[in-house]
Amino acid sequence: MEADDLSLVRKARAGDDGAFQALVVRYQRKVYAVALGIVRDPDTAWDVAQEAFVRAHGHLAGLEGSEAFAKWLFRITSHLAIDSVRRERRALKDAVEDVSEADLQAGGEGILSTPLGLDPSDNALRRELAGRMAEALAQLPEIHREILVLRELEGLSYEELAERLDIQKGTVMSRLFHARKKMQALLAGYAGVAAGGATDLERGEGSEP
Amino acid sequence: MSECTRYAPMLTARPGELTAGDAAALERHVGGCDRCRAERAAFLATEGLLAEGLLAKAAERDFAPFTDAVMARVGRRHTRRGRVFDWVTHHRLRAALSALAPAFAAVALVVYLRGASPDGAQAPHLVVLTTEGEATMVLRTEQGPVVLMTDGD
Repeated sequence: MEADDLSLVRKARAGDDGAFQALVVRYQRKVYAVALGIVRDPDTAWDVAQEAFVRAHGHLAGLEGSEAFAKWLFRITSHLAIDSVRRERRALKDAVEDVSEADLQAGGEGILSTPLGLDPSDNALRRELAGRMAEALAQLPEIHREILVLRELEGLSYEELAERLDIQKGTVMSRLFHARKKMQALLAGYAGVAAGGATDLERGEGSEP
Repeated sequence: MSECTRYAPMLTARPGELTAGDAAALERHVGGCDRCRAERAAFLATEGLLAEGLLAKAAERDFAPFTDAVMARVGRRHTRRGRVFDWVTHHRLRAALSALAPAFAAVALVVYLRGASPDGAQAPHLVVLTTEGEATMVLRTEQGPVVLMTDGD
């Protein structure tokens, strides 16, 4: 049976490198995925993910007993990833991001469910759409990448997002909405809505764009 | 602001994230709005896919070098920390003695001077004589002068 995070953390705190290595192996892919979603560049994400583990190791003593190691680790990762991105650009102001009628139209309505609508349980279709979403993410503006990754990978609530990003809860909701709509717009071609009628998948065409 | 633009940002809220009033108003709106219903269905249909996609990209990479690199960096920290700890432990006694040396010297001087004066006896003292450019240290005692030899002698 696998040791739980808490017992591994306790052993790692006591100097057991094997226990810390078990935590690294357990979470390295997800930590990398979080970093990749935010920084886009695979090499930078690799470095950020490594740094996250090293920092976590150095601060294990500061981890509260009741706090989940994974959640804490992902927080370190996203902080590092966001810092990495922000070092390269000027600060964005926290403007209120209202939703307009044009925003509602962007990307079409319900387009992403179109290919899945054939068979929502089809794993191949899900995998393909998931891969395209991951690629499309890299084309989104930084603030939208950040909030989507924090929401979808870290699973943060509106309140947690507001606190993490230092924005109001209303801004969290509208920013998330904009991010999702932009994602829809980027995937519109894949969903086949722009062409009208059947999707590429429905027409039996390949998965290449 | 239309009803849709007001409620659209709330469509992907999880249970408990909206106030009871907002949640009820959202449901009333979605119940009568085809567009928002379709929007919500689309969001829900693709929920979790982004995470799947990113994790799939991560799974394409070989993480053995990653693990090794992290553990090497962590090990170096251990080593550095260990070295510092060893140095401090090793030098603790020496450092303590060094710190106390002036105090020992002061106490010894006081004891020496007090021991020399009560019976009126002359306390030995050191005199430096210079002859032909060479300095010689002579300790004057009650028994007579004692010339302190140097390595060169």
